[in-house]
Amino acid sequence: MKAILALTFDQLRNRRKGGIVMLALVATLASAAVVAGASVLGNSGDRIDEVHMSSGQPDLFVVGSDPDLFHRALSGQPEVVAIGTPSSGARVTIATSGNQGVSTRLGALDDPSSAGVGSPQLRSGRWVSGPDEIVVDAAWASSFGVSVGATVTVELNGKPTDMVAVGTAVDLGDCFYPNCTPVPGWVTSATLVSLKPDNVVTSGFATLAPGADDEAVASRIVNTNPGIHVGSWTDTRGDLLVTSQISSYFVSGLGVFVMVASALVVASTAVTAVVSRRRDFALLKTMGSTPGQIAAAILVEHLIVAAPAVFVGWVAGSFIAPSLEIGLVGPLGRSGVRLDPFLLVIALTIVLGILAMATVVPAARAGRDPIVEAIRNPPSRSGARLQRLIDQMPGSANTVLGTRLALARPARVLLASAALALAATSVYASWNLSRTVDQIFGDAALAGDPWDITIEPRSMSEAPDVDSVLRAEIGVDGWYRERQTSVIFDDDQVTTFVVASGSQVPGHVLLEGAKASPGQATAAHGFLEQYDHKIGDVITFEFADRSLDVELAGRHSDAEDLGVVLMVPVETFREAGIEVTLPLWRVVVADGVDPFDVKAGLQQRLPDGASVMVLEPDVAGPGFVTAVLIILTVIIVTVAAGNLAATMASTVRERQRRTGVLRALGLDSRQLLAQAGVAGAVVGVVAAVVGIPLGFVVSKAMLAAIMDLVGIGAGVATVPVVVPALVIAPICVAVGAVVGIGAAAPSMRTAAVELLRAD
Amino acid sequence: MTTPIVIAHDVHRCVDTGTRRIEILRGLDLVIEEGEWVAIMGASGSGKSTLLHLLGGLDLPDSGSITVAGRRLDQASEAERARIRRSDIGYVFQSYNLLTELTAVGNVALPLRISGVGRKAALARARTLLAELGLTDQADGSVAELSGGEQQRVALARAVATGPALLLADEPTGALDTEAGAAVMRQLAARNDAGQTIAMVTHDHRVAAQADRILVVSDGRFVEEHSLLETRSPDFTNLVSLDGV
Repeated sequence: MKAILALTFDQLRNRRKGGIVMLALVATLASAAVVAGASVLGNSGDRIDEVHMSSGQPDLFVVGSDPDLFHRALSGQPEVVAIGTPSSGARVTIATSGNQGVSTRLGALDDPSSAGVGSPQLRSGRWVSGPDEIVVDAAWASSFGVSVGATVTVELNGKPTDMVAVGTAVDLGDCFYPNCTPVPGWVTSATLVSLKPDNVVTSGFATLAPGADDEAVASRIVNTNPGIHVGSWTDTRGDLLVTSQISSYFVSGLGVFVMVASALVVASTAVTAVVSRRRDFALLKTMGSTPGQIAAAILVEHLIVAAPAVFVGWVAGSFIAPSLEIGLVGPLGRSGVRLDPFLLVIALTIVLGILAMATVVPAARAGRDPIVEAIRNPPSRSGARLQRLIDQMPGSANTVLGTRLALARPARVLLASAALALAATSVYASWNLSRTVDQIFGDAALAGDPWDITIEPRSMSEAPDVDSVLRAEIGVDGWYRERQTSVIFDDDQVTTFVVASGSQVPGHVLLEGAKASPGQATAAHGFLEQYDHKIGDVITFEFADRSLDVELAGRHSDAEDLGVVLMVPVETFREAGIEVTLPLWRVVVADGVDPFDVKAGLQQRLPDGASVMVLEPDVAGPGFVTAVLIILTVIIVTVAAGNLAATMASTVRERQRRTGVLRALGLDSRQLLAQAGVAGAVVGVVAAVVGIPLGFVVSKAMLAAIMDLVGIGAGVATVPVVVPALVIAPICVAVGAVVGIGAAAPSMRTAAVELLRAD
Repeated sequence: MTTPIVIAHDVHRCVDTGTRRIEILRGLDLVIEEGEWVAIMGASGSGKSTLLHLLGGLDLPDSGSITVAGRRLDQASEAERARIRRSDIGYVFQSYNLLTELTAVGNVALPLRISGVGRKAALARARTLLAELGLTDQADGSVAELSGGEQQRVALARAVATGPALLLADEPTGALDTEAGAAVMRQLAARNDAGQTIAMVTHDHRVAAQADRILVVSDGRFVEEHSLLETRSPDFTNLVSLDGV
């Protein structure tokens, strides 16, 4: 062991600094990616569970219009062990100066400590105590930059009231704006009364006995108590984590790329180091070093360099992780930096494991290398057939010599090409993921909201008036009516949209099959996946104590409840003798028309008290995700380009004498640099040829995984081929050429005589 | 009257070793006429290889002038010197310095291709040269598999491929056994007979004796000169007074 360590440190002293720095850099990056990805998933779940614990661990969130029914429904369930104090509330719109309104469930709560189970958690400021004071949802406040002391406009029945935001809070009936609306808000009981709401709803939380199935209890309550909506903690937690999950999957997915690229880089640097010191190793053997000692010394040398780098990566990843907690940062605040020793062990195991695997082959080869031949250090004979092929290729002498230079050490160049190919793959995948994320976040129709404005009249008797106003409004392209409710399917409560067409049918995005006719329904991807159904199946669900058989006519795009939703025409219920009212008008405005102009026009003409809300575009997600993608891609490209530079520099260094001979034969610096450029470009071409098709395959797989995760499924995002290929391929070649020229440039400053003397 | 191919005047060249500055050449003068074969001898470190590097434009003098084929190397830029090397100078190294990734014919064709000759024409010319040197069978083989003598003959073919005005040979037989060395010398002599100007550095009296003129360098200057009559004399080795040569 002493001999191995002595050899190791001797090698480290003699090794080029650039190689050590490159090895340390990739180990740091790989470690940081592993730690950051794992931290995001762990931290996000922990943050939500902390809030859940401090709220008394509520399992159900119940909303109903009748306070008596609320109590009756919950108290009759044997699994319910605690019921929080229900609060009265009304649906309003809140807005800040210059921003559009957001649908809000405004609750009356004078003292949050009296709420018991599911009490709101104050995040900043204080609780409401006087008139015209409001505690706003922390997620909404974060999205719109609302701080304590700001003025907030509450609009009810078309009447605005200015209030002062005295605090921000979260509750677990919410899955945080902009993931979910309505957002919660709280005022005193007296303030709510002063707003004179027409429809008051009651909401509250309940805790179940340990081990109880919250989904099953929720289904039972909904089934036996029409008019009540129950949300389970399991669902809420899933909704809360979905954005963080997508973010962490992005990080982890690209982290895997960093690691694979790192493995290639490590293998490449190990091969380079071993080849360049082949003669030294042979001389050590003449002095009595065993093959095992030499192989072990090479391995230990790499591990000694990488271990501190993994530690640095662990610290860096732990610091980066909180900023990747997309979706939770606003309401819950950023997680503190947690240096988790377990993650250090994981990172050490993974990164050093990859490193050992990448190093063991060249190390073993160095150990077995025949002494006499190694001392003579003859040129590589690998790729002789390839070299003969190059002899036949057309082109200038510089092109042929440059190609020869590129393929002088085929294995090493293959590794460098593979790393660059992975970078190209990463760029391709990032491009597509970013595009898809923009598409999902930017197109509300894909999320199941193919509308711009929602109208909710005070009374259903005003429905004919709403229809006639919409017909008269020239900015309106079409509308349909809807009710969001739940049906019981397979003992689960499944969110269901009951829809009817209006004068025109602005459609949901149908991805498969046909629109539902009476007796049919469409399902989103999440439903089909969860219950293993396909288009054409007949399913049976329960609604209002009735059992209905409906055929699944198609699959529509909807991300609500991760796609575990049904959309049923109201006629399907009518055929079964169930009358369902549709209180919401979903309005689509004409292309190029500002929905807020239409809203203003509608508010003037609609009956008093009708609520008119514009669908607010989601602005929170894409920026973060795109930034993360760009940063990781830049890292991967930098690592790959750095590795290529190191590889090319090694090749050029080993072939200094060759460069001297070529100069003696009359080549000038420009021609030699051109050859180096060709050599780098060859690597770029290989990278593009491998990386772009691989990028296509990876993009398809990642898109499928993400669309599956958000519940939309296949059919929305397509992976473009031509444009990325036309952009990425020249970039690969250019990066290769520039790196090749950069690596060769220093040797141009060396006198030809010096180069000829090189070993 | 013959035309000088090489004119070197008052050439000085110093080398920094890091700790001290050594003056290798101290005001050296040299003229080599067209078609002449000059052997340069001297002890190790006397500056003969430095001189050959300067004549090849691989290095620059600190002062003085060097003209090869009518072009001033000391005033030329790096790119201009590269062009002069390409067209007017051929180089034969002691250690052959063949490009091991190329075949024999590929090595010989290389300077032609660098000079802009098409691939087919370059290969045809290279094959002819190799045939003249008795290497027809080895033309398409890897140079790493050739014997030392064969490799040096390939190097010679490469050096003369473009028809340079000046052929520089640095210890061309230094790494060869007697028989292989003699074969290389026969080829050099044949080239010289055909009019090729040669400047050759050597330690070997017998090798030097084949030149038209021998210059002995010591302390950075030529200290002796022996004519053709002297070099062909049976007592030539006694005429050369240098130790260690």
